[in-house]
Amino acid sequence: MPEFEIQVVLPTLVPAAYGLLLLLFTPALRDDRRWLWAVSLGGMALAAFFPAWLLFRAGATGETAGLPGRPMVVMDPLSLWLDLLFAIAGFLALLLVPAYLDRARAHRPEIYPLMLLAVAGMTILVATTNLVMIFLGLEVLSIPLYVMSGLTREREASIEAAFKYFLLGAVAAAFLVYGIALVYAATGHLDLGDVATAAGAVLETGGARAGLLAAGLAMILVAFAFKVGAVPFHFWAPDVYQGAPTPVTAFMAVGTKAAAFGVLLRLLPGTAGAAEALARRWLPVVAALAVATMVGGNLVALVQVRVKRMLAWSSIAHAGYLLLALLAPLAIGARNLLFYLVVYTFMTIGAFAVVSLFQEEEGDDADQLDRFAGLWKRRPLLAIAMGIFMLSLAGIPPMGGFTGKYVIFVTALRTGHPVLAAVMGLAAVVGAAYYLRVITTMFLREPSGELPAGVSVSLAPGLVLAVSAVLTIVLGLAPGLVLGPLGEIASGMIGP
Amino acid sequence: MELLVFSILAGLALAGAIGVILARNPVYSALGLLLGLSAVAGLFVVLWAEFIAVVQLMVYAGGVLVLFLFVIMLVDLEQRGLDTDAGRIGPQPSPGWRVAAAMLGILFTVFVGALLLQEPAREVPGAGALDAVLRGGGGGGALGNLEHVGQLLYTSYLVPFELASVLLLVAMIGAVVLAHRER
Repeated sequence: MPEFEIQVVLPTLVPAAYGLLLLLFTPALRDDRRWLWAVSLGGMALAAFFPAWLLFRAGATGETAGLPGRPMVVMDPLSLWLDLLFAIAGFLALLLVPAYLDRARAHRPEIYPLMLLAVAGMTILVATTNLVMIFLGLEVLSIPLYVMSGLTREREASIEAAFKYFLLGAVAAAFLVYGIALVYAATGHLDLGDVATAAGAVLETGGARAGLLAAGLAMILVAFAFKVGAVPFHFWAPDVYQGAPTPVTAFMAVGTKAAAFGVLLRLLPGTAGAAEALARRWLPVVAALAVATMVGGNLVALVQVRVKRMLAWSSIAHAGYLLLALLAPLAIGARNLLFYLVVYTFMTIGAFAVVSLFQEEEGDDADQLDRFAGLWKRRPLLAIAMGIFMLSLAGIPPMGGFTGKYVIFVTALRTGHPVLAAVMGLAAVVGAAYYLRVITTMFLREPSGELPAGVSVSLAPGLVLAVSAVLTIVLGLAPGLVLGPLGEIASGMIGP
Repeated sequence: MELLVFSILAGLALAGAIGVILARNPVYSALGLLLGLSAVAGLFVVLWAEFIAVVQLMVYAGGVLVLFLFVIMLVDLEQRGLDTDAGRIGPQPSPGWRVAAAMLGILFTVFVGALLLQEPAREVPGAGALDAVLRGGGGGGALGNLEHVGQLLYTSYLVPFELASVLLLVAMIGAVVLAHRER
């Protein structure tokens, strides 16, 4: 039996252990919030350091490590890269937390350990090929998010968000389990590699077992479509995103999406790699989801009057672009997908960071579009930062968002999906309208009414804004810095 | 014979599940759940998985349901207006939607059921080790049911096993955080 290599589980172990320890000390340190905050930031930094270190050591094409037998935990560049992304997203979101909670008058120190545990769940999700582990990882990630959505109990919307997310999330989990059961009934395996091998034989003989396999995979797909908020499984997203505390929304939008797409990267090409017939079956389904999501998300975002809700719909639209990236051949599709996730992380957290500053005296969100009027004259730097994020989300050239959309668009064109590429182009143009409306409101309209009290940027949110804005631009100007290594990772991924 | 016992138990499980969602009184719902879970325990016996059957009875029927009943009886639902339709959240779905949803559910069940009947589970190729356990030590010689579960749980399934404990802990903390009222 090969030796148990602790490093394989390090990316999960660090945030999990840190979160549990923090829980242990939370009661003693309840009143010393700054201290708890600092410690959790340290934990998140460690959670980012280990994957980065392992990635650096293994190299982009590095070997896959696993526990003995059919590995429950795998460690490959894909998982390490995503682990790094989760920890960075968690770190940036944590930076926003104290300022937001103080203004919301919600004293909730539990949020710090919960955030770390959610990161641990995400790292499990992307570091396994076993369906049982995928289910457990998804739940470890989801439950802290349900709870964090409801932490600002003083706002009714927050309770509504937690309740809706929990109920619908439970239904999605049921779909996942049922799907796993059907896949097991069809193939007799729980490991994706074995499933893929068995699926090839099953599809060749056809008959009932092929039907079971298709039904099972469809249900698993539904569960993850729910988690990324793809139309028509998006109904929870606007209410939950709006109701949850804004830093949590930022973390949820980025982290959950990255984790779920990490699984889809293993699941869909993994099963298809061994069975061309299966690929032919799921490709149209994913394509239909992508079209519905891109069109639906962008159209509904157009009529929103609250910026936070608009960003929720925008995040649905972005799930559509990511689904489109999934359709391309794995080596290039995975690169595009991962690159877009990186860009998306910074521009979305940045945008939500700006929104998190807009709070009423009573702690409710003050994210009506009118409140942003004339921001340029009052807080020029903040307006510029928000402008950068909006331009990037809209996909305007010098920004990272443009490069991300561009590579997905071009790949779709070249790999025989011209219609999908056209839909994406149109959807992005429609989408640009509402992002640009925020910009015109900030820069062209006269200031009116009082500026919300929170809009005096303190150090931590300022840092988030600066880092996100700079990286959004850098990723746009020099995408090769990230695209290159990601390309190597993606080309090393072929075959489960 | 096996088919007969299975049909009776499966029917009971279904009846219990339907009872859970149809009953107006939450106590009856909980009792329906009890029926369903016990029938599932019976199904495990049919599969020669007596250990899992006992665990199912002890944990679900014994532990979880008793807690359910405690909560239902301790919280005065009538006083909070939750005993009737008043407690429902959001607008009622129109009858059309209900019928459509029910039809879709039944169609899917029939579809999957028909597929499963065509393909008896026993002929699944390369059934894994867990499968052997569920069939009562069919794959492992002298070892019994309990030993098999234990062995798998502490070897191949060690990581998921530990993870499940983290999951339960997180769920417990979450429930406390949400339900706890600051004094």
